[in-house]
Amino acid sequence: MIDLFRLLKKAVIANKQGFREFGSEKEEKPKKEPEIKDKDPRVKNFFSVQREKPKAESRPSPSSPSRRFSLPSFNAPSLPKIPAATGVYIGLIILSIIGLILKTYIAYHPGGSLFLSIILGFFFFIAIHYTPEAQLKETMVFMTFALDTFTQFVLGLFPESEFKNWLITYYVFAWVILAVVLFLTGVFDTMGAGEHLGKGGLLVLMLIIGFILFLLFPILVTGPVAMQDETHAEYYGIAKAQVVKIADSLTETKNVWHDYFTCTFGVLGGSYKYDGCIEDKRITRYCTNNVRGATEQQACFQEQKKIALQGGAATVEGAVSDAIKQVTKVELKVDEFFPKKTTEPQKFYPVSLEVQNPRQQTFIASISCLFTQQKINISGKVFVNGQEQNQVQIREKEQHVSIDCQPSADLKGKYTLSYAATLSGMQTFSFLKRAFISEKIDATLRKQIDADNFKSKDKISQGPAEFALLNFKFGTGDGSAPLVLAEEPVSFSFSVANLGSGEVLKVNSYNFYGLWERGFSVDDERVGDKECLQGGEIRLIAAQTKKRETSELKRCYLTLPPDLAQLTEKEFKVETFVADLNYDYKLTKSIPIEVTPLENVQTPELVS
Amino acid sequence: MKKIIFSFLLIFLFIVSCGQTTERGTNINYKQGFTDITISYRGAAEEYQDQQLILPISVHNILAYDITEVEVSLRGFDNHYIELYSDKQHLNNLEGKSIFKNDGMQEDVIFEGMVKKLLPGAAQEQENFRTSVSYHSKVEFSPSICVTSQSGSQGYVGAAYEAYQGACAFQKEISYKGQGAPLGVTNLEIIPRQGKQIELRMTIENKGKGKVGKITLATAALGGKPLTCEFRGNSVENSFLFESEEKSATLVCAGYLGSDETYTTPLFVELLYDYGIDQKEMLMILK
Repeated sequence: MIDLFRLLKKAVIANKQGFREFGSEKEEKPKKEPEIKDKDPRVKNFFSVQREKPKAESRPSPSSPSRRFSLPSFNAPSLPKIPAATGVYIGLIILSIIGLILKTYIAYHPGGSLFLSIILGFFFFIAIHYTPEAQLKETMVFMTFALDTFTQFVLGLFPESEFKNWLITYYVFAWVILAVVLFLTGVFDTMGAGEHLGKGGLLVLMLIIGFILFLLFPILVTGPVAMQDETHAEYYGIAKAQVVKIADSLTETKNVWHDYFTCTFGVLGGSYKYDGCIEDKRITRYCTNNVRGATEQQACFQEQKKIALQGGAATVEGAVSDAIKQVTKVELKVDEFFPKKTTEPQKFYPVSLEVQNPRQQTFIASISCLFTQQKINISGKVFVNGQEQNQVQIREKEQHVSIDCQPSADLKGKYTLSYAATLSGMQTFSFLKRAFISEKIDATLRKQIDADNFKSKDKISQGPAEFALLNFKFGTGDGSAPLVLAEEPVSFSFSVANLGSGEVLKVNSYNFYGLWERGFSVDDERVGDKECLQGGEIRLIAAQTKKRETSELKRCYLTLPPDLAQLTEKEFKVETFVADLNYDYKLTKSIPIEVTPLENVQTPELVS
Repeated sequence: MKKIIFSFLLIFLFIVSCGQTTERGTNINYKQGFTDITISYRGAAEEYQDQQLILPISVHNILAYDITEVEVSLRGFDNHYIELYSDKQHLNNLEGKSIFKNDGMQEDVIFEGMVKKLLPGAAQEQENFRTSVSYHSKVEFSPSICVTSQSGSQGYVGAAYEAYQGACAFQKEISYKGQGAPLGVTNLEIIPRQGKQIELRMTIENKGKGKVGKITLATAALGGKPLTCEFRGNSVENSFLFESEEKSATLVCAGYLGSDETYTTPLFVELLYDYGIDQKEMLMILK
């Protein structure tokens, strides 16, 4: 961007004064052309495609300070309209796209990808070497090459995260992005030099602008203003969560440079699987940190390896149950009479907390409000049902709570009023169906059990459509299969998904009573969390409860109750297990308001 | 007018008398075709939570043979919603169809249990379950067959042929359509051997909806003389164990003929077998 601004600035200056200078140079130094040709024939080769150079035309002296900037001026009025550099940039865009396609074709094999990057880097470097502001552009090419090469070798080290996805996106499109940026600088160069873009240049420019508009169009149509009060106050939360997530990724990554170098060596030779190597290193580190004793560590390694083979640290899936009709809903509502514009500096701003609580849970709603104006925060006094208090207990099937917020100081100007309702002690549950069989069971019976009991959603845990959804799985392998083999180890894990627009602050308690009451227990002889089936507080960050990629909160192995562990080949049992979750949830609502105190209001009478 | 009415009545009587009469008594051969016992769930399709549960099941033996060691069970209920006090019940022997009991015998069993609570907030829950019946029974194969010791048929493999020699028409291969049970002989191949010997190859098939466990050969005789038999494949002595997907077995018997001539003689094969059949049912639990 800095480069673009600098070029634009320079282009504008050049537009004002530069052409006279070029013109004068043309007249003054035509005799120096042969000298330049001899000195640097490559320059001619590069740009000769795009121009028909008149014999009378001359080039500035290499010693001239304006030499670099004068390159586009070869396209004098009598020359074709596409300036030389712009044409080269179009060529670079095409080249980068070819590179992208070729990389896709070779499936981003590290060796092949590196080879293509070297070729691309070479062409880019040569092409921009003779353009205006070449040094800066060369730096850009070098940085792109370095980052491209660096990225492709470190990607494997990063755990799955948003940050990694951004890195991958950059890695894939790096050269195309660079080519487009260079093209735009070329456009600025050309326009700054007061010349016209040719048809080709215009076409590419329109394509780029069109593409950018295509990306921006949905945002423009939906209207950022309309979304302001909903989203603005959440920005900080989102940004915080994102930073925490990246920090987590980096923490996971910080110890793995050694892994990177040792595994990379094998990959370049093509004889060793990079992913497998990295996975082995990760497991070794995990077991060394979490398990004591050489034998136990060895056992840990074997088990983790097995888990990785069975799908690794996959997320725990869950779904909303259609069968559960009684669902707890809480909403902060603003009605049409909300005073978005007022003259009172300390007005009451009313909202309501609408609660549908058909299962008659008991929980506490703590309300707070804040007026923000750029960096100024003014706290608000909260009135619940007319009383100055900030908490209310919810226990009725349907409850309407009137909330008023009054600023603690006089307001003047535009503010964002943010309400927050922290719901403490929300309760939800989920259930999971499993069939227990012997591994010797008749194949037909096995199919029959599967067909009779497990249709799509029945294979995963389900719960009511509330703010938080408790996902859990257990069974043979990674626990996703609905048929549990009595003879195999039974793995168990759970996570929490955020289904609402707010934030799951923490788990207060979790209780897989359906399992332990039935006789399941945590297998102490295997690696895993001891408090897998029942436990207390777990602090959460937004990234852990992301709806489609929830993070496992606990993982362990279970031992089956005797009647299930000793099933014969003709027996099977189908059972549904229920678990409870108690959690805190934060709802927020932001509303833009404007306060114009009366002394500032100029009425017609006062004016007259 | 009276003549017309009388004529109509006469014609009506004639037509009625020409109609097919129901087969009764000794004229009916029950030991033909393939058939299964029938299982009927006679309970309600919907039950309420937190209630006692009564599930009556009726078993009707319409086979041509008695069934013994009858075990009726209910399987597949989710223990979270349904608790059965007992999921298995045994029945007395159920007689099959015979000249004394044209419709076979039917008996009811009642399963008792409890419908537990639905999940919080749930309005209903559909429970799929299976009523299974397993029993022990037999099937008899007793055709009269035309046999010959003429070795002229040696080496002839494939389609049946007829060589009318003497008293009966010799057929190398004969198809059958069941003997009144789910399991039966569907094909008989007669192969004359040297020295008045004969080999009989029988294909035994399960054409019922259930599964056959073990088949045991109880008797095999040709013209009253015992045959030496063995099952091909998965067999132990006189028994054959059907694998889960297996639907047929081959029984090979050898014996001596009483004469060099071609003649008709009774073949009698009695097979004992274990059988299991189930049926899918559905119960809706309401709040």
